[in-house]
Amino acid sequence: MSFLISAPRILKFAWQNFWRNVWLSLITITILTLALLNVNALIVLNMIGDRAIIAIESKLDLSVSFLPETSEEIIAQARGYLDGLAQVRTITYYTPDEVLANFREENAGQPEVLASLDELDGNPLGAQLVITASNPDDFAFILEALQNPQYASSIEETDYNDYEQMIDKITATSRQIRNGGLVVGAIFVLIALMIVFNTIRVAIYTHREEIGIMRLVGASSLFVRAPFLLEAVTYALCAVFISMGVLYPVLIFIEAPLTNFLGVESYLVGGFGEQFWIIVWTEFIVFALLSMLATSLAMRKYLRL
Amino acid sequence: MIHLKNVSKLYYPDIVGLKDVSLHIKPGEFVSIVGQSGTGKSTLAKLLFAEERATHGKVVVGGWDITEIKSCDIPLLRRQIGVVFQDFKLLPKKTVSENVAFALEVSGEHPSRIRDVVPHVLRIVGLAEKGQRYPGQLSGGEQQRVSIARSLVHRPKVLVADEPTGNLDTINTHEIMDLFKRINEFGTTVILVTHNREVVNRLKQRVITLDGGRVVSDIEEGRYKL
Repeated sequence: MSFLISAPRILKFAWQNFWRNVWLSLITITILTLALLNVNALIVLNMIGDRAIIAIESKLDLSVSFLPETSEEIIAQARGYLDGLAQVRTITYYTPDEVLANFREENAGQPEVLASLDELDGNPLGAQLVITASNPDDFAFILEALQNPQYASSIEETDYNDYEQMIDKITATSRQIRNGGLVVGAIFVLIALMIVFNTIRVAIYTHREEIGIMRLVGASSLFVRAPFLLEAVTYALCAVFISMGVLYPVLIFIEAPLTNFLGVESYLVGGFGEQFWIIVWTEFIVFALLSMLATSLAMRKYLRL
Repeated sequence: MIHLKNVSKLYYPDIVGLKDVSLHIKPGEFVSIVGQSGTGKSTLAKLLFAEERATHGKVVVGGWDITEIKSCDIPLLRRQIGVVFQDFKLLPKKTVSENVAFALEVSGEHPSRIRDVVPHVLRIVGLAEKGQRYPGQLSGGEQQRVSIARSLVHRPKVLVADEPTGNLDTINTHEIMDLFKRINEFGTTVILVTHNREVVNRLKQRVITLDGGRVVSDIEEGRYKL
């Protein structure tokens, strides 16, 4: 059988299958679309979670406060020592006077704190080094490096823990959302497969006369089955494009508010756009294969060849 | 052309369709298979176009042992055997021409061959002028002729007709039988499954009689005797 001759006929039969049960076809596409929207929502949530972590990581630093009596020489040595570490990205040095000025600014609304500061003789605060790391994981190494006996006794305190907790919280929340989404997505996919199975079952029933005649007059098994498989692929194709058509305006709508909220460019539309065809093809191939699997099961059960 | 050797067909759990049937049909023969309802006539016909598989024995059609035929080879077999049924099995939403062309389309035939063959077979069955009508606009006899035209599109060596006149009146029955005789004269082996006494007696051809799934008589120029 020549492929070029049979292909248009198979397409025609698939198209007839689609239209003769058009409402069932639309319902099938709707359920597949919902399943795909769920998958896409997970992808977007993942992107938002990543951007939120990047936003926090960009603000992440380690403040090392030295004792007021620490000499500038020790601080310079400590700074040189930290500068030599590959894990350290930047070091900003604040003199005791700058630290005091910053403290006054931060506590401008708390007159009691400022009054008690005024009662003290001189500046009670020491110099400060604010360190950013090449990678958030490097802070643990840097904190360990600061235990160096040469400098440890001059360090009054290090401030890092709050950010770490926030990142842990975001990571945990993202993971929970992802896990919940995966469960909901799996349920949607399962329902979608059952709907595809039922749609093909009805299509086989609707075409039972034609199928019977096809068999009698010598149609190959592939020729009888191919339109149903093609129908399943059509459902997947429609669902992928509809879900993308729904998702894109939503991304455009939420991008600006999200950027304001995070304080960094959310890059949702751009990020999604960069991977658009990879996502479309992957989703199409996966859903087409799943639909074809459900179709094959329906044909195996209801199509006697 | 057709050999059956010790063929039995059993249906689960213990229903006998055919039992130890052996027969030989030569090319170009016109054979009537007769018997009362439930004697295995249709089962025998179905074995010939691999709609059923023999439980025991060997079935050979056109030199092709189809006892253990692979599923992928069944379509090839069916393009060599034309089949006609009592209920015509036409698609009501297709015209006469489309119904006939359908058999060629699903077999992957080239459009130019379809354009040549369809009018030709419609002329053979006398429906050249009614190609654009729908089955619902035809008489029962005409519908059966469409079914016969469709069965001829692959130029089969064997034509199996299972109760082809069961739904027809006497005049249409005679027309259809005349058509089968003409097709047989072109060299096609015709296997007619029927329980119509008059049809069999008018043919004066070979008659195989089944009873209880067994061949009880096989007579050249036989008559319907039950």
